[in-house]
Amino acid sequence: MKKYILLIMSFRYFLVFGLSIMLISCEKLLFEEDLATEDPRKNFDYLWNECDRKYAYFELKEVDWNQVYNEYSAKIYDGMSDDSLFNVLGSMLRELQDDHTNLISDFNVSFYGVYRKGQDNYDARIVNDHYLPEDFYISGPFRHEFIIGTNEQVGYIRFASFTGIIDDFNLGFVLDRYKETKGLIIDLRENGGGSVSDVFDLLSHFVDEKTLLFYSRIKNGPNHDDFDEPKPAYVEPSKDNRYTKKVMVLVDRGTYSAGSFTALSSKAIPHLKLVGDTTGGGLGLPNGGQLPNGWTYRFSITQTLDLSKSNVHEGGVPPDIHVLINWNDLSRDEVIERALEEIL
Amino acid sequence: MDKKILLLIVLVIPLMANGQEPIVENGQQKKSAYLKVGIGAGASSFRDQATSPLFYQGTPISAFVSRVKVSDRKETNLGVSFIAGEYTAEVNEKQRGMSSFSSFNTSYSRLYQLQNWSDENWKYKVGGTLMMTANFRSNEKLQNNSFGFEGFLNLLGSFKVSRDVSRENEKQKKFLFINYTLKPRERILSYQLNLGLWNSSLRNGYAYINQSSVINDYSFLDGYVLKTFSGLRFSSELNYTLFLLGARNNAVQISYVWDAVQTEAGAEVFAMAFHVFRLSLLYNTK
Repeated sequence: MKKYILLIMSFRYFLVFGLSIMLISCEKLLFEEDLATEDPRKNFDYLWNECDRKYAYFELKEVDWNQVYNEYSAKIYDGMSDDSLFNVLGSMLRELQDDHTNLISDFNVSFYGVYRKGQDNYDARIVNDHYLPEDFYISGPFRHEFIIGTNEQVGYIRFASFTGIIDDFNLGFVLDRYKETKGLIIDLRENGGGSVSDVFDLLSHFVDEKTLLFYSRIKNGPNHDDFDEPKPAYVEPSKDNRYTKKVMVLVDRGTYSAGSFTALSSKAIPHLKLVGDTTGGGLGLPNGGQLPNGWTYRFSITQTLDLSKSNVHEGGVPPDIHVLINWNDLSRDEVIERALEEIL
Repeated sequence: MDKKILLLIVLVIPLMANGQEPIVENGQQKKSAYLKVGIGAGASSFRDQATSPLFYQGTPISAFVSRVKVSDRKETNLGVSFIAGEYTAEVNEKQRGMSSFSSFNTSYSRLYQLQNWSDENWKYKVGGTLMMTANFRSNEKLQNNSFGFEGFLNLLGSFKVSRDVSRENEKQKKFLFINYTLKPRERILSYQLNLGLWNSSLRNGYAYINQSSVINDYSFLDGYVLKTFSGLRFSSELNYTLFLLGARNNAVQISYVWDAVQTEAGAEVFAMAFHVFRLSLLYNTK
């Protein structure tokens, strides 16, 4: 009898504490398999599938993603080097024609290079040497001054990057300085974008009332046309330092992402005009992710639509006035010259 | 004096004060209430398949405080805990990512003793636990998906078994040539298992990031999806409680805590697990 009692007592210990160990080990059963691998084919398939499920612009760009799979999967082979695999995956992503689409490893970053679609249309030295005094102002992200020879009738504002540091103080100072001018030139050429909040902080000073700028819709399913309903993007007028005279916004193929958002928004504000070349596009919000081998990637998962709800401007926002620089004469910036004609 | 040593003294001295009788009287537990404070460290892993197929692993630290009330009928435990650490992902032993991770957890459990099953040495309790967890993650390599947040609300069925392993008589011991005496000491070994009965999660939507910043109408939870009656959660706690000699029922507790949670199965599963060793101080507040 004593033996049975001891047996039961021992069994209770085993049941309780053995169960705890067993259940903790069940964690491996709860979680799905570890997917980390350097296998080239698995990484290729993973990237292709992620793009297939979430990339936003297949139809607009007329990309047959299944055809791309057939073409690029044939280039994958066992034992290929990291460099070779990167080249295949990077080339595959370039088929999307989107500079918001990149593959990033610890030795390389893939890109599309949309700026090559047009000629170089900006040179800072031409602007600095012939249109601005030596001691131009630097206020936050803005370099600015009255344009030489305009009798302080035109202000020039170089905005090189959307760094997210626009505030009422720095932009307020700038606009207050030029409040008596006939017009402004805001130079967004070769501005690759950045913080989208700067778009609204900037444009709030150029509207007198709440203004609808564009629409945006986001992927919500795996089919190429699975999107949420378009949502409107409005800008509210700033309380102070609003400028409502003529504004020439200079753009080119290097104007990308937040720069393109600003260019597209300009179409909704009557006293803003785009001068220069078509922008590079980049109107899709990029996501971010990681492959089974640890490399990271990003691609566009939203579409931006103009006021007629067309997504066509992903290919670039066209200027209202098309002007290109003549590189045979480095004493003139034809884009600025044309903008000055519009203002004066 | 070093501040850490002073803090330790302030915490430990009250535990050593002479005071009331031990909690067990005539084989029955008296009513007791404790403030339980502790720290811990351990191993943890998570995987967010919405952004990466890799498991991120780390050795976080944790801190917690709870209010425990125990009687011969029931036991309640209301607590908050915090876990944080740096996690890394490896592929073929090469580091391929780093993420900071912090998790806030609030839980309330209520257990009732099964009188017919329990005896002087073995106590069996059943009941439920409500857990609410919020995770915050940051991984710069994931670009616009660098920030991760998910919330969980779980109702779990709980089962607890306790074994009184007290030393009732003095024991004479010898280590090498050193003779020493082990005095009678109140000790309890317990194990609690919680199984998720109702699981819900608040997670990013299909695209993961949201477009609220693009449309100038920022909202932190824009696009987040609440899913009820989905996912899994299991947790367990193995405790060794040592009541202090001649103390006011204060105690020291060493614990091994395991917690695992997973969202609904699919392509965008989030899963995490913690294995934490804890050292707690229980202050009797009655």
